[in-house]
Parts: sequence; structure tokens; C-alpha cells
Amino acid sequence: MLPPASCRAPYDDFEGLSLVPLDNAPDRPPAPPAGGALPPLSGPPPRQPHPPGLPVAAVPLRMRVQFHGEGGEFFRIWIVNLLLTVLTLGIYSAWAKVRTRRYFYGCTSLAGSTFEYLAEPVAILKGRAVLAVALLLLYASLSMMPLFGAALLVGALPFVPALIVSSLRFNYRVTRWRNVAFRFTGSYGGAAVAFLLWPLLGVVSFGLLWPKAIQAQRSYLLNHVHYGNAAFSADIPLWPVYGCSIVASVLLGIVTAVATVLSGLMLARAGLRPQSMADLDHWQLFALVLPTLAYLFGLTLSAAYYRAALRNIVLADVAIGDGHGLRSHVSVLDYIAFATGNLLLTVVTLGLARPWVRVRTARYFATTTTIRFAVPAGAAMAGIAAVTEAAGRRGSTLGDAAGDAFDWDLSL
Amino acid sequence: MSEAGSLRIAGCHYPAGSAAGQAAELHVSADGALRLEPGGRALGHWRGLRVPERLGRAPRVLGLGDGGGFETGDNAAVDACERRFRGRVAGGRLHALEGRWTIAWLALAGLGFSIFAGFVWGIPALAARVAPWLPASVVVGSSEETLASLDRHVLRPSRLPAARCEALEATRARLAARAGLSGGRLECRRGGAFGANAFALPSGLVVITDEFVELGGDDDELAGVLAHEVAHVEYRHGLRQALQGSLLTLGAALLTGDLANAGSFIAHLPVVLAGLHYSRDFEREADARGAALMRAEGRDPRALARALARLEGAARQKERPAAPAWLSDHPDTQERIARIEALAR
Ligand SMILES: [Zn+2]
Repeated sequence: MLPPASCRAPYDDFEGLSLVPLDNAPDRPPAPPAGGALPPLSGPPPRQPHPPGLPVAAVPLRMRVQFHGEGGEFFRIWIVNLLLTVLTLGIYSAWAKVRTRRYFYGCTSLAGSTFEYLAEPVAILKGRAVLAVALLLLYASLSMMPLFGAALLVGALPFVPALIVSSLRFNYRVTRWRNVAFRFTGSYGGAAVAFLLWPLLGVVSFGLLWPKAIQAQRSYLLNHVHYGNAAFSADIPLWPVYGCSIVASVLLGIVTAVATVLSGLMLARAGLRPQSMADLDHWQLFALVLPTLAYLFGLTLSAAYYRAALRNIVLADVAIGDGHGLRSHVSVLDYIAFATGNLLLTVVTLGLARPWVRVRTARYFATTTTIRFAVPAGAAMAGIAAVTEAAGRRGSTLGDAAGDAFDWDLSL
Repeated sequence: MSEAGSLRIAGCHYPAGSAAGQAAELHVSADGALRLEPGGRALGHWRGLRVPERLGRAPRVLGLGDGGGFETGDNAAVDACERRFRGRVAGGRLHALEGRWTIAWLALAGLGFSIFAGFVWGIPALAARVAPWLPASVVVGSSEETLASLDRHVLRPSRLPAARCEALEATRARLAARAGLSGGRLECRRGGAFGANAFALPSGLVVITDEFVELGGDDDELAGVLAHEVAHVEYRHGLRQALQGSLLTLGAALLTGDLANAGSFIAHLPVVLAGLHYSRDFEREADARGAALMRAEGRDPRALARALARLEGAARQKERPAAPAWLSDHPDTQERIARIEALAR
């Protein structure tokens, strides 16, 4: 019995694949995903001279990342793991996390090969336990001895970059494609500059330097990734980051203003005084909820715009190894509509549609990402060697747990 | 399957140490010996493979003994070999659970029930268990802080004659001693936005507003209200309420961590509603205990019911719109009065 074809990778001869990459002819740009126009394919020429003996027509060629997951399938995995997590009072969450990650990685394929996530649940659990104890002590000291707790909080700041580096090293090390692991080689100093110094300057400058902080962080996150011996590198331009930050802020400002005025008007009409929550009637409750929903909606629009625009800027032209590349082609308007649909779906189903939304989102971002090979993919792959990290640079699950707890967005 | 008992698994072979790879077939003989085609290289026995757990229909990479890998989407064949040569499929039971819609709906129902039970019974029980362990310094400190903040923003100094307030304090002290409580005191204040009100803070500090005293209730009625507040302190209702709030928020955050996009509003609505429900239970408990304390003092246990009726009469005169029952902080006053009357009988 064979599994259904939708999740079965095409294991044709890899060399052959490179001539007709998946659904795209090499000399034709990939079809845009659902209505969005695609930027022209004229990327920079390969840095290396074209190797002799290989067909010229195939160089350079692009392949689209594919995603084969299904919402229903992931819903069943999600609900069973969520129940086990609740029944074990959270202990199973480490296993649930690994299974979820493995599902999404395993359903993401490039050139017929899927990604692997190899973290050990027990190690993840240990990281989470250590972090939980540390946070509990911190909160306890904050509430009982506020001054000492605050000192601890400030004292913990230098550990934040260390945890970020540790999380990145760990997560890239346990990610594999074609049996070769990714690596993250960023240093503590670089993380301290990107995640402490620049955000601090961003706050001190009343937000004027905040986009610069974002650019520094994205640059740090991207420029230290390696796939085996092939390094990722990209110059992230500063001014476009400023541009999309300003547009997102203006959008958010308009939405906040409208929601505030709306709520003021409605509450005034409803004759509501503050401090009388218990005296609300249905109409007043509606007056309170509607502006909140309007604000939430506007926030989604602004966040979706920012996410799509920033992604296109950061991943506009990432070089990988010897002239290969990676590129994002999200259509901003299309993504805003997509994200709004996801929000409505989640709200209407009280969160039950979340698995479908996650699968849809993974598919959306996979299919709007293309990889460019400077030489036919088979030759390109043969040029990539695995590199084993030294013992001190393998990262830890403590950093990973901190990333989960504080929702650090360290992904590309 | 070709030769008797042997299996062929189609996939892609990755040699150790490189991303190079090619389409290949793994031939598994009837006794578990592995051979890679094309090339015919022997790869040892099936039991030497590292086989990841099955997960949906996602392909798996089998770890070869030499550090290489073999990726295949033929999960059925891999599981068949696992069963045959290792006797069990790692994670097979989980995969069976995750594969059925019936199980998924059952899990959903179980999840709904667990969350309901945890929020309605688990968290209150945990809060009641934890509350006695909070250090007295924290309890007193936070109570004094709350009063100071209320004094700054809402409450004003009392205009009652000092003797009236002292008499009320004496009543409170007798009731507190009856409940086995030490410490605590009574503060009289002009209520401002609070109007006619009385409330207790976890340290045993009871605040009664001038407006309440001026409603014209007799000494028994005021004592009934103080007994109700002392009961709140005795049962640590304030602390438990605060702890329940924190635990609820924590639980909701853990559960909906996934749901961040849907916004905090949706995550917090059930927390707010559940919180209101808790306070109703506490009110009923305090009503019953307050009546018992009054009886033990040799006073009329129905006095609190009269005070409540008086309070409601005063509120009705002001003609405020009635709150929807499910959103009200206190159980319907008529219901409370009826309960107290029934207890006193
Ligand atoms: Zn009460």
C-alpha cells in the first residue's frame, strides 16, 4: 500500500529534476501563487563561471519550495497532542512541540527532499523545566522583594543575547535537509549588538532608530546561517525597512484613532461611566466590544502588511554558497487578504480552525519562496558538505525554551 | 514486493557527509538484511537503522549505520519492516490515535471537559491550597497598599462621629475573634464613587463607607455586614480570588499561546466570566458563614438579609439599569436574601 501521492515526494533522478524543476520550466518564472504578480526573475548572475559540460539552458534555474501538509491531518495530530498536554499538566508539551515541528518540516519539500527536525523531546522538556524554575524564582522575588527582583531583572539582561544565540544554534543544528544539517555561527557580541544595543537606541531615540534595530536583527539572523559548508548572506537595505515601518505605523495610527473615536462616541451614547463594569447592559457591552474588534481587525491588517513587506525586503536576494540563492515573492495585498481571512476563520471557530490556518500559512510561505541554483541542482548538491559543530557551539534547549516562552521571532 | 518475503522501498539515498543524493531502492530481504540498489551495497540489518516515529503521511529519513540517510514516503513498507524485524512500530499507537477522525472528536470533547473541569474545579482547589502558604508580610503589605491606593483615588476621610466607628470596630473585633482570627481592623471612609459599600482586604482590614452606615440600618444589620466581611477574610476569599485570577490567566496563556493572533480579547473573555462566577460562590459562602457567626454571637442571623434589602431599596431609588444576571458581580440580591432566610430557619 502506497501513501497518497500528495505527501509523497517525487524521487526522480535528482539530476533530471534540475532540468525541469517541479512545476516550472527553467526559463519561465514560477506561476504566481493565487493572483499575486511575481517580481521579474532577473536575479544577479551566478558568481561562479558556469561549470563546463552542463546544459546552459538549465542555468540559472529556480525551484519553488513546496508544502504537502493538510489541515485535517494536522488537526487530528494537534488535538490529540493538546489533550495529552492538558492531561499531563503541560509535561507532554515537549513531545507535542517536536511532533508539530516534525510534521511541518516533513511536509515541506524542496526538489523532492523534505526537511527534518531532530530535537529530542526529553532535552526540550529539560530546557523548559529549567526556564520555568528560573522564571518562578524571578517572579517570586519581584513580588516579595521588588528592589532585589528588579536588580535580578536587569542582571538577567546580558543573558538574553546568550539565550538567543543558544536557541538559534540549537534549532539550526537539529534542522536537516538531504541528511545535511544547518548551522548558526553568530557570536554573542553580534547578538548583544542586534538584540540589546540597537533596540535600546531605538527606544532612546523615540522609535526613530527602531527600523535600524529591525534591520540589524534580521541581518544578524540571516548572515550567520549555513547549510553544511554553504553560507547564507544578504545585504538588507536600510531605507526600505524604514519605508515599510513607516507605512505600518501610519496604518496602525489610523486604526487606533478610528477605534478610539468610535469607542468614545459609542460609550458616550451608551451613557457609560468608568468603574461600573457590573452595571453594563447588553447595548453598553456591545459598545465596549465593537471598537475592540475594530482595533483587532486593523491591527491584523497592519501586522500582515508589515510581515509580508519586511519578508520581501529581507529575503529579496539571499546568496547561498557558490552563487545559489533564495528569494521571497509574497504579494503584499494578497497576503493581507489571506491573513484577514485567517483571523476571521480563527475567531468564528473559537480557535478550532487554528490547525488549518497554520497549514495554510505554511503552504503560503513555502510556495512564495524560491531557490535559485547556479548550476544544475545535482552538481550543486554534490558541492555541499556536512559540517559538524564543535561541542561548545551546539546551542541548548534552554535557549529554545526561552524563545518559546517569550515568543521571540527568530525565524527567517 | 518481489521475491518471497522480501521488500523493496523506493526513496532517495544520501551518502554520509554530503547533500548529494540519488533515487534508489532499499531491498529488505526476508531475514532483514539490507541492500541498496543501484550498486548492490550491503547496509547491514534493519535493526541497525534509526527509524523516526511515523507522523501523518510525511516522508521519513531512515538513519543508516554509516551516517548516511534514506528518505522514503513509503510509510506502510517501513512500518511493515519495523513490525517484522523489531516487533513494534515506535510511535505506532500515537499515529493510530492521530489518524482517526472519531478519536479527534473524542479528544476535542475530552479537551473541552478537561479545560472546563480545570477552570471550574481545579484552579479554585489549587488556589485554596496555596493561599494559606502566602507569607503574612505579603498579605499585610498588599492589603495596606490597596487601601492606600483607594484612599488616593476613590475614598475620602470619614465624617462619622469617632465613637460610631469605634463601636463598629469593637463589633468587628468580637466577630473576628469568634472566627478565630487575630489582627485586622476596621476603617471608616466616605465612599465617593463606591457609594454605600463594605469590603474586606486579605489581611483582615475591613472598610465600611459612611454612606452605608447612613442608610439607617440598626446595629444588628451593620454587624451582619461585618460578619459577612469577616467570613471573607476567614476563608481567604480575597487571596484565593487573586490567585485564581493569576492561575486562570496563566492557564489561558498556556492553552492559547497558539492563539496569539486572535488577540487577547478572546483569550480573556472566558477568564473574566469565570472570575465573576467564582465571586458568586464566595459571596454565598460568606453569607452562610456570616449568619453562623451572628448566631454564635447571640445576634439575629437574618440581619444581613435586612441590610441587603435596604441596600437594594436604596439602589432602586437611584434607578440604575439592571445588569444582565450572567454579568453581575453579586448573585441576585433577592436570591441571597432568600438563602439567608432559609439558613436562619
Ligand atoms: Zn461579599
